Amino acid sequence: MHNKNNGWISSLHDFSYFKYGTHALLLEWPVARDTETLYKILKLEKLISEQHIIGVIEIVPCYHSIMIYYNSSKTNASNLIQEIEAINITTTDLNISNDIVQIKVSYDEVHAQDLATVADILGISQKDVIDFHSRPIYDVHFIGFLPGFLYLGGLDERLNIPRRATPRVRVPAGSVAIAAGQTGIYPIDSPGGWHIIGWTDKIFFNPGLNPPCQILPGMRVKFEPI
Amino acid sequence: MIEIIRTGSQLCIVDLGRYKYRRYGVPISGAMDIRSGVRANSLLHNTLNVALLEMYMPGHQLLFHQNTRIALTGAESELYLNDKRIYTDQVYSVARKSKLTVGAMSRGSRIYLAVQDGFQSSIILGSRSPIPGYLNRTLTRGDRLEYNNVAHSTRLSSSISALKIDNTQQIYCHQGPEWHLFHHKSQKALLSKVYKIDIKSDRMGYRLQGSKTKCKIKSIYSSAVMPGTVQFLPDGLPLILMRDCQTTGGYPRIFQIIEEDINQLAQRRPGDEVQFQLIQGSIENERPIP
Repeated sequence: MHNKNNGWISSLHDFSYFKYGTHALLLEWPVARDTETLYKILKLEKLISEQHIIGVIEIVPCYHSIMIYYNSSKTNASNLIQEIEAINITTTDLNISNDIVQIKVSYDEVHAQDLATVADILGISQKDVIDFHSRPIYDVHFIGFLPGFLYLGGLDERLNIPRRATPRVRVPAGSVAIAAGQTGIYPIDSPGGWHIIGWTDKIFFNPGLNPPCQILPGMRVKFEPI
Repeated sequence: MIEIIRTGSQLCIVDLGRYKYRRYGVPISGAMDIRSGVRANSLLHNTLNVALLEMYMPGHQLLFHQNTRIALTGAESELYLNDKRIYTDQVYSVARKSKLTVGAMSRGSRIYLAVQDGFQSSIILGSRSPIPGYLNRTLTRGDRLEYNNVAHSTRLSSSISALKIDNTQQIYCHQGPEWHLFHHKSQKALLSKVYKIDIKSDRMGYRLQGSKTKCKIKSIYSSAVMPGTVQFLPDGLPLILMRDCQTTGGYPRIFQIIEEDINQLAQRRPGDEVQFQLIQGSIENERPIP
């Protein structure tokens, strides 16, 4: 373990630490958004939770990082690093369900405001866009940006398209969208810069339930055209 | 019960915020100036996370329908209970049919009103604060809010001092995870520039105006952000995330503002100036603020 003089601290494991302000510790793996990194993250997250480390408030996973929020009157980043370094990472199994959540998507023109533009930009047919989008099985990497917004990994590379030059002021709830090699569903009306290629009535966020999101990182989803 | 007679700018119910749901994408929300919020509750010996009113900018008027005790904290403002001038950081007994008026603010922009035992709005995911997009807790004329008129005094062991609104442009921060990726010329520029808080600023974030900094790093794979995180936008300007901010973001994170200065920023207004100042040395030596 050594301090790299730019705030980052290396680890015995395959990630690095960053003391993020006074009540958060960031753990970051090499840049990736693949299934392998997802499982590494879920595994470590599970192990850290099982340690019941004093002062840890919550853990937020992302593509290749984990943020640990802690109560600074109960612990500090150096203590947490010590605790995490002591964890034996090889000793856990993830119980990931083989189930695939099917999400019915309507790719019709009324809802799919940007389908024609996307096909134009990518130089493929609209049918290709729909096929390429609805064929893969996507990993749920994490939830962020909006309550219940799923970050999905596994988008067909042929659908890699930059964000819209001008973000929309209002993307309707239920919009299925793509941008920057990612796809997701807008759970609420929100400003947004992704291209809308479909619509679903499946919203996975309900603040009346606990947990409020019914799909969690590690689960898998597939889009089913209707 | 309290009734909203008139609102100036935004008026909303807040508490300390919503924790433990960030992994589901739920923002913390909560009082913009946490110190003043906690202070108002502590003056009444309320438990610290009971709900209070956050009143942004002048022009609010409220009518009390029940007797209670109140405490106001935050911006230096002309406050009136009926025709009598009252002040922040003191406890007042309020008789039913009294009117509270928030007038001109000479320093700061947010006033917190705590009532004995707090406001009794519904609790969602452990908090009475708004959830941007789902749960709108912005109040308008005619809205009524319940509170108890029986005082169960929950004695508080420690009290918290008032925020001294300083209005200096210096905002202290620690380096963010992507700061080291910036060329030292860009770093120097970002620390030397004086920015103005843009009118398009809200509880989610403060946009800044000023001269743009050139940098090749435009985006990262989305990673966690929190109130006080300063992102570097593709247009070359920094964006300060505030209490209602999203839980993850894809722009480089250049700074993390210290807690006390997030509270200071909460008391600023559009047009105020901001300059970032990096704190050198160990993060652990900074005194935690509740």
